[in-house]
Amino acid sequence: MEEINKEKGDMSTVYEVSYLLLPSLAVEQVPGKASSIKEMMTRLGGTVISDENPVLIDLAYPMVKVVGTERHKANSGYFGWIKFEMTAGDVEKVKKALDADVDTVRYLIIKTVRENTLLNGKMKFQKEEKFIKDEDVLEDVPVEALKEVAPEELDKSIDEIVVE
Amino acid sequence: MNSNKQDYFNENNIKYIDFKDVDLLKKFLNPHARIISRKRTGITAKNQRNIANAVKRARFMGLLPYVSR
Repeated sequence: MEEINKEKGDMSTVYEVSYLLLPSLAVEQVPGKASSIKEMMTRLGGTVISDENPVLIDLAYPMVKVVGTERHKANSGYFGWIKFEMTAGDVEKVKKALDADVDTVRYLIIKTVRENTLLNGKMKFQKEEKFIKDEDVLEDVPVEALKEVAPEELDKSIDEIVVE
Repeated sequence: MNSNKQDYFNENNIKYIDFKDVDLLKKFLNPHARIISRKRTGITAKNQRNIANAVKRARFMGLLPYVSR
């Protein structure tokens, strides 16, 4: 057992960091920013398990981010998250890096489990909800078609039974 | 949320309560966005603690309000 522990070095834990980026960022900049955060994780000795790219969401209350002498008031923000595995010592470095980042309004590092914890597999946002509704409509059509076919098939099977 | 109802999370086989599941967390908030007491939710003590934690995390990240109305 001791050997196994030695091989692993410090016990690594599964963490999840979620972050809010300033809404003043251009839409084109956001994926780049997300990948730079992800790249930072691997550079600091972590392994990324899963992640979701930032999406613009309306905040439940306004937040303020102070950069230098400027106060940025945010009513919306790009919310994204990364689940990763890391040793406790390295997580401190992630914390410091995110503290120094001028584009993140807020971030939250929590301990979590490796398995997928979201019920729908992905976060549900207003834009995505519309998309899901469209899919539902598409799925409904074949069901109706099946219902139309069903009575005829039933009649056939009943006829067969009657003949027997 | 009926008091004699079975635990919501055991019923739906939810093992880990994620703070990003805003729709799920909203079920445990009243119109003022306060966390509903265990007496009313009827969930286990363990899950109630986890729910409270998740709601507080969601509030910090601006997914849920601290106060409403």
